[in-house]
Amino acid sequence: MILNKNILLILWVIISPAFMAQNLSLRVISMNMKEGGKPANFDANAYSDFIRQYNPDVVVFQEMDNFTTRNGNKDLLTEMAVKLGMFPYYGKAFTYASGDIGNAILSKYPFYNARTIATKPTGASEMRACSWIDLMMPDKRKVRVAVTHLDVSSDEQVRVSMLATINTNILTNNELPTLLIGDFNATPDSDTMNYAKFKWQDIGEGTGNTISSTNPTKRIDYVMGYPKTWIRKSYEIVCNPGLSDHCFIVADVEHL
Amino acid sequence: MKNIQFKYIALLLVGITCFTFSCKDPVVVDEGYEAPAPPSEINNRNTFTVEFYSRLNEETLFQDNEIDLVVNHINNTTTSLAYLFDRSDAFIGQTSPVVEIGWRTRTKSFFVQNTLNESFVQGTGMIVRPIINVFEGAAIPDTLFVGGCTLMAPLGNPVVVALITCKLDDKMQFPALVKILGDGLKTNKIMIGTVKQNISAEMKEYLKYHLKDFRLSFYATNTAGKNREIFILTPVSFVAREVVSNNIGNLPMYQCKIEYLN
Repeated sequence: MILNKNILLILWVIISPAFMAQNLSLRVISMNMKEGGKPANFDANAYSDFIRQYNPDVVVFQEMDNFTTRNGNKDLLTEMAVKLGMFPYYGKAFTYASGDIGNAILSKYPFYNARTIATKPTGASEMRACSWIDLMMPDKRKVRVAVTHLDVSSDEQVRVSMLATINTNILTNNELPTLLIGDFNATPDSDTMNYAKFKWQDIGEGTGNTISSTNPTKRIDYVMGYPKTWIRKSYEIVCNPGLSDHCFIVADVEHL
Repeated sequence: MKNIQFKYIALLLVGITCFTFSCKDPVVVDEGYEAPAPPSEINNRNTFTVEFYSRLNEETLFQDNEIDLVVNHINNTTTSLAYLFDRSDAFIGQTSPVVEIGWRTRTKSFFVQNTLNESFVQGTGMIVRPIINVFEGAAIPDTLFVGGCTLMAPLGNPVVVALITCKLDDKMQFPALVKILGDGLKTNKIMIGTVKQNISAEMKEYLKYHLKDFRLSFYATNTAGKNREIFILTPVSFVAREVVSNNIGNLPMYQCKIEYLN
């Protein structure tokens, strides 16, 4: 009888952490800023007000200007970070209009690691970047969140080549659950997305179209997960023509 | 005759014994690592400065309206490679002091946390001017956070350096620090942080026996109410030449001058 109790106790010690483990839970937003925020006249308040109502953990941006002549020579990302109480990371793709254009990330919690890679495969129209941050949530679980904006070229191989470079850089020696979010400039049945799905889980599979924001007819913005064990809790496509030509994605995702 | 044979045998045995002991490996005493002395003259073309803001105690850095003064100072002095703000703590969801400084000085801000909970984060902010492709860090929960920016130091010949920081409170952090640094000191990692005064000697001793090719220097003040000191850990190809104490308003700031020895 005592032996049985001991066995039960040992079993409990072994399996209880599995029951007690909380899922990693994140609310992410993806926003293509359309020429650095031109639809809203580069107004940080307009974008911040939109973001604030969702209280996200991480927001990723494509087409974010940094001190360009067209945005009035300002750092729109850091201005939003100040207004929202978040931590900013800017990733440059290329020099543009006396400043920079690229991807950007806002995080509710500080990140302990951040990288940007830029690539221009043969046939690409311009340099494109992928940026990512590693952050530790208050429960001490770590996660990697990446943003990219693949080339708009008609040649699918350009985007496939970019994805291959991204995979090598993001996934090699990476043990963190990872999200790759952004504008892939490719529809779900394209060679690009078929290639992406070798490694990544299309967390928003079967959800709505993301462009244009006035009449969405194509799905080209994605939240992809690695490894393929992410859980979609909610996934909302929000179209606001006053802010962008793309609809935004607001997603609640979990990973065990 | 027998007596002579016995003497020969005894002599042979003594000889063999002496030979055996003399062939044993010599005992090697690990004397630890000591960096060669740097050149006595400073080459000012190869120096850069980092401003390190710290109260050198356990208090949060920004307590009043010091941000305005820091913003003015950074906007009017563009000579420092980076600005570090020890204990520029932030409340989650509220504007972080270092993000605000970044916004108002048109620079890029980073944050190396020491702790984290749902509502508050303690750590060191970092301000740099260029866009950063590599902000490299490591987080070992409840043990050690290390992080910093890789950027070009504008020296005689520009040199890429990784300017990193961490906060040391307990000697139990030393093995983690050495593990994180790895061979990092061979790739121009320069670490500026604070260490509790009561463990700085042990830090020096630990690194001496567990790290190679480095220089380590400390800066402490005799002012009352300080229980921490600044440490500067560089590869052997760099040297911390001086730390000058200064004040921006009431905020203590230490100008760290570092030279690349090449």
